[in-house]
Amino acid sequence: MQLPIIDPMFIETSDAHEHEVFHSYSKGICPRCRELVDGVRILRAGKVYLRKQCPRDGRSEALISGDADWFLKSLTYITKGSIPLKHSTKVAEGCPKDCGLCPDHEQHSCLPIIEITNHCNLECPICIVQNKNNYTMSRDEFVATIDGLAEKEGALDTVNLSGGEPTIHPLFLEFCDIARRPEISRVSVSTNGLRIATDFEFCRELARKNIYVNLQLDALRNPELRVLRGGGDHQAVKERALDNLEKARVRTTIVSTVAKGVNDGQIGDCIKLLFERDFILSLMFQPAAYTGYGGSHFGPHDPLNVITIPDVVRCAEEQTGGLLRKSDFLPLPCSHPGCFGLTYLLKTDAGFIPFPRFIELDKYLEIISNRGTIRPDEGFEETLKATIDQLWSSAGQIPDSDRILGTLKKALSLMYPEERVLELEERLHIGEGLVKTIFIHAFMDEHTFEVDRIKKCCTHYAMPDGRLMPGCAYNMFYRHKDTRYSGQTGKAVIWGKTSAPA
Amino acid sequence: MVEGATEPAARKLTGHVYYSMTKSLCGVCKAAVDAKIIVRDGAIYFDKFCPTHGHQECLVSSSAEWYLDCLSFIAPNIAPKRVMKEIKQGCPFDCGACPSHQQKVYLPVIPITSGCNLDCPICYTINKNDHAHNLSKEDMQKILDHLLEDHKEIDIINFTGGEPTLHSQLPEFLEMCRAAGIRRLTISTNGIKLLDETYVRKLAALDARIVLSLDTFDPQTDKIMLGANTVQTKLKVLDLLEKYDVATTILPAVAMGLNDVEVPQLFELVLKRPHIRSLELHTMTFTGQGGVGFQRTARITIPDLHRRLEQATGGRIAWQDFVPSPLAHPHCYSICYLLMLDGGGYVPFTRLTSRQKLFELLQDSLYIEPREELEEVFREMIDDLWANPDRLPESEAILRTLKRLIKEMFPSDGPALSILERQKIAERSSKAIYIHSHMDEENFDVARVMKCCVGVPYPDGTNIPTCSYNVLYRERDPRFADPKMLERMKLTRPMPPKEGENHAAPHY
Repeated sequence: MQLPIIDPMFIETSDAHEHEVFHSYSKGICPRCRELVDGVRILRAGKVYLRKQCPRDGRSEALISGDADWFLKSLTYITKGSIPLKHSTKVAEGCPKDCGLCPDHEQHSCLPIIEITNHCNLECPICIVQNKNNYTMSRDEFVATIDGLAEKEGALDTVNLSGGEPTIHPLFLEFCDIARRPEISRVSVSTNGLRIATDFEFCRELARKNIYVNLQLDALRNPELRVLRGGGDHQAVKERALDNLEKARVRTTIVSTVAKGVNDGQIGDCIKLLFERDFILSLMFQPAAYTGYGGSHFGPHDPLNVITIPDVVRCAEEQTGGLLRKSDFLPLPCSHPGCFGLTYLLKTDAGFIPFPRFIELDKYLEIISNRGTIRPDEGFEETLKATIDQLWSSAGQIPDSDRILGTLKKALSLMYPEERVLELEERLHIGEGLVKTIFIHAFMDEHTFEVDRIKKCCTHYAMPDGRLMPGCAYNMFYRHKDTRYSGQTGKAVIWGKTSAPA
Repeated sequence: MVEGATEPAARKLTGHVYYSMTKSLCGVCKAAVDAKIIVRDGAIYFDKFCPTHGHQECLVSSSAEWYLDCLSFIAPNIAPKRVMKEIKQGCPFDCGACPSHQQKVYLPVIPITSGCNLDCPICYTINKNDHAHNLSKEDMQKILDHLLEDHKEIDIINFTGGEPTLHSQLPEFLEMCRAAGIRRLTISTNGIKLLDETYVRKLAALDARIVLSLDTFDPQTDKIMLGANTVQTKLKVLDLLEKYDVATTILPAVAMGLNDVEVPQLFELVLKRPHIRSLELHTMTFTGQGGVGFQRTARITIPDLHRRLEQATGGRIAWQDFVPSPLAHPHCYSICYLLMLDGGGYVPFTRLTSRQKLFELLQDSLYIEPREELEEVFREMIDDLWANPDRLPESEAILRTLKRLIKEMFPSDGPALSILERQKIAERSSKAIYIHSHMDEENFDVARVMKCCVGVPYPDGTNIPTCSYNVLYRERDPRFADPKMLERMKLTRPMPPKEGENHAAPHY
């Protein structure tokens, strides 16, 4: 049989929509005591809920998918995982107590994150971590972390520097240099943009070092931004940050945390921003996860009424007037299908055309399998050629096939010229001019945590001791015990030219 | 990239695809353990880890395609009216039902005696013959009262044991159930006591339905699986049952490498004998006094049985002619209905209507009850075939049969027939194949137990899902658990851990 099963058929009894349907078992955690408890996934009125039973605190329920159809179809979006070259921990107590990665983990580190500081120059109500302002990673620790990563992975498509606010770390630029090793294709930094908005030289440095910037941008307007990020003129800061990044030619990703009832109406505007500004390569939506600082300070929130991946997809369709459709988005099969949704868009003269409209889905999944980005290696050349052939023979059946063909042929000749073989990085940059991405990444919190999902997690926090911690497991079970953060909560030490929002 | 840099080592792919996870039991100590559900070489395995006993693996389905196909069937559930037990240790250690149970009881299975007149090596229960327990009439009534209180209608009840025909009051129990309005009264039996013609006549008069254990025609296999010579007895019993027109089901427990090759003959037997209504194939399960030690090479899964039937019938029956039961977890029952044609031959329902329709016909009861919806389905079958007669070679016979059935079961003039009357007519022209897969600790899946619609009821109103009972609770039910037997099974203390002990994963 062929996995994944694209567009599986479902057979329902006549009364399936009027009643609850027990779908499957899922081990979760009690939101009150955080112990592992039995859970069941229930379909109800077109949505999916995780209902848990805690022996101590009783029953609790959380929405895990706003669209049962998307949920059911996503389940078979599964592929083999990759095995890391080395594991840091042994299996002793069982998942999720042996994190590091243990040999039972099902996926390598596609997306490693290094939190280089827990100081921050903002205090966002929606923050997913707990910034205690008492830790700055030392140079030695950083080198050890990078070494650990290289040892486990061999080649890395990307490494992300985060925090706290990483750009206020005194050694930030030096860390960027250390991270730019032969094994690592891309270095990115997740930032609120405060320093970028006020320090153009800094932006030039970023561009010189070819650092990719993931700019926090939940909305284009202050009212929504203030609810999520606290007081201040965030809109002005973001606009200045974007201008600086564009001027300095820094490759930029926009990251929008989407909270129900706050900025879910701004999804279309963020997509418009992606389409209109060339230097923005991709857009990442993160449905809010109510844990960390945000878990206790952004409230009260109703766990039965939150944004999930298919909700973002639905908003994208509604708010772009149908320019994007639900069917353009797919789960990412190399992580757990409940964790990521995405679409790739090809830039043609006729605008951006989502890949699923002209490329066969099983080829599409192969391209993005086991990596977060399209990797234009030799295998990709075959895929391009095959797609071109297929489009050629199906001319007329796919709208805009001429334009798509033209763009793909141009891509082929640019990326794989006959005269010489390009370096992977050169091809990457060409590709970035032609392809944009919209990702949706759903983190888990105490309400939505599922052990099932964590086993195939590909987003790992990298530790100085060499361990790699699946993100949501770290946030739920390990962060509060991390000895690097023990001690009194301090005052943020902000290095670098930054002014707080007016 | 720096020029001249050496290519870093390449990562390898895993040998399997991770699908999802569930909770299972350790094959050694029966503690609750996480089980990864993985696809490997087109089959489904549970990949488990017990902190004490390490990694274990169990084949769950020899076909990943069938396993995933089952999960595409969506049917709602009705939670039990009464929650008898609190959650203390988590599924499946709080059975009764606990708040996690998802489905009410549709088929109560009542072990009325702990004694048995055989001692089969494959036995999946524990039989106690010394001071055998026999259900009292008072307790039987209590059980019935609870069942009626909790459900407005009970279609079916099953009597088992040990060997239920050893219980002298079985005929009385049948009468009590009939009086309570239960239509299908089934008795699971090895048939030995049914050599007594008077007894058969009595059961026939009570409209009892016999589920006859019949695993093999081969004396050697008989010895290995049943430890006795039972074949001739059972064939004689079948003759007697036919003589009194007792509705009969043949129930083979199928073991890979032993009697799986006889599935074609067993199926032929069902087709040939008019009083045999269905074939119920059970996959070998490793619980109880015998199963627990039986050779593990005997592990067989539902799709293996589909394959045997496909081979036996040259594809007239295929795996897609089977659907899950909407009432149970989709992996528990695999159901195929055959229309027996006037003049000979048969056609699976799914060739005349859709899998969807068959699934819907099963949404109220474990066996299709001939309610009004069935007439609608028959009419649609006729219309479809009328418009497309070349679709099937036996169209003419099918149309004839269906028209007759409608006329007899749903007469347009005169009073409407009762469901029981319709059932009798329908059963002359249909046969069913039910494949049922009981769990043992190795392939245990709590999701299946949570949606279990079958259970062992107690006089106090408790109900324990059958597979939980077989794996965990029978051993500490003093009515059934024989201490000497438990010792033979190498259990010196009952499983699961009692109050205070905790086999669940250590607290974080």
